Amino acid sequence: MTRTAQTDCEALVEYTLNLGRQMMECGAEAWRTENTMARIFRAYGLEVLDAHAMATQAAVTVKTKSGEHYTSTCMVLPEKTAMNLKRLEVINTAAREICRKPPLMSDLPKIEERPSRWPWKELMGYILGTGAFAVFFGGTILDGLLSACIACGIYGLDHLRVRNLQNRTIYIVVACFAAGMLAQLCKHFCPGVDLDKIVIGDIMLFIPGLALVNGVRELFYADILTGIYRMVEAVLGAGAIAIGYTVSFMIGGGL
Amino acid sequence: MQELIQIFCATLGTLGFALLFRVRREHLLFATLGGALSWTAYLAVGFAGAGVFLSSLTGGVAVCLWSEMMARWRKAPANVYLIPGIVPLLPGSALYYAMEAVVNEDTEVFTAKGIEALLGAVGIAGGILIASEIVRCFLVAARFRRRKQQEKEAAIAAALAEAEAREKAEKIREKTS
Repeated sequence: MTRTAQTDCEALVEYTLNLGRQMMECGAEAWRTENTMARIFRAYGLEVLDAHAMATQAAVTVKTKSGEHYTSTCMVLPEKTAMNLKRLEVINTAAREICRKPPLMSDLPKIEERPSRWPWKELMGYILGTGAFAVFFGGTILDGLLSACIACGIYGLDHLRVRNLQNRTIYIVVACFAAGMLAQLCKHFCPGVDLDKIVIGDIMLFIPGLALVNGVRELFYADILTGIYRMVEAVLGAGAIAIGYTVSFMIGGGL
Repeated sequence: MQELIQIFCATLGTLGFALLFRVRREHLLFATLGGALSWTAYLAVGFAGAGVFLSSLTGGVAVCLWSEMMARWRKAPANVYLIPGIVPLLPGSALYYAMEAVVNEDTEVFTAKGIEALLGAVGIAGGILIASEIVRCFLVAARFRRRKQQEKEAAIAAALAEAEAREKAEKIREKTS
């Protein structure tokens, strides 16, 4: 095998593994990530001995036609993991294009590592998500509005977390504590509002329901480790919410 | 009336979460409609007397079928429509009341709400799994039918080519004789 071919093979393994890691970070299922990585390697005529992805790690081993093996692993950082369906779509389209017509190594599409944030759209998402779900769970429109106002504060905190790559569990404790204090402040100034409904609206941002459902889905797809990881993540998230709100209610006298 | 308000709020909430999950603008409308559909299906089965598990399962099936259809029509990954669509089904309030029960040391409420949350999650996941399997079976059957059709067409083309070649050979033989 020539030196160039060897370098190309190493670059392809690195590129594909990076693609798989980014897919996991965007919230893709483990089996879909494995499938995408394997398809890219096969498109380049490599034999896939192992393409494995789980919640915190991705690993691949491929064999060239001349019999050389290439193995590489990478870590999926939990702090960087967040549902990002736009990025997932971009990666998916890029992977499909690569498989349809494999380009030269130098022409492989570049996937941006850290996408820019959508400040206004995200803020709208926070406001709509919390306000609507506060009313959905039986609150009044005023409860929804107050819940949405508190969500603006949570949005600011989330900005800080992403910038500093802070631990998610600690962030949830801090954010829930702040949201609980603000909700009690609202109750203090508007006695007619329902504290429970305001809190439930804001909790929808942290509630690990999606992690729980995704965990059960991974278990059904026989990705046991990833499924258990997601379920433990859900339990940790629920615990963090409970600690944050309990401390705030103990201090504020809401309980 | 309460149900209509719920469906409206579920739709708005889904739109909010679709923005949070950064769904692209061209998919926003259909991703949001998925949330409305899933909650309508949940309520409809609930009216018929079904519990949390069956209602969540139906909601999961409905939103998964919707997302698979939209994915094929709009040429996007099914997750773009599926993830925001299941948000109204998520057992948010059950988890909240379970956590509140932990704080209040109320084991009875904790058990009831904890089981409700778990049943909801398993129901949604089960619904998604059933619907994706149904879609997969349809796709496999369609692919099989297409392959059979192609094989049949190839066989006909080969037979025609053979007949033509035989005819040509006969003509040449006639000429030479």
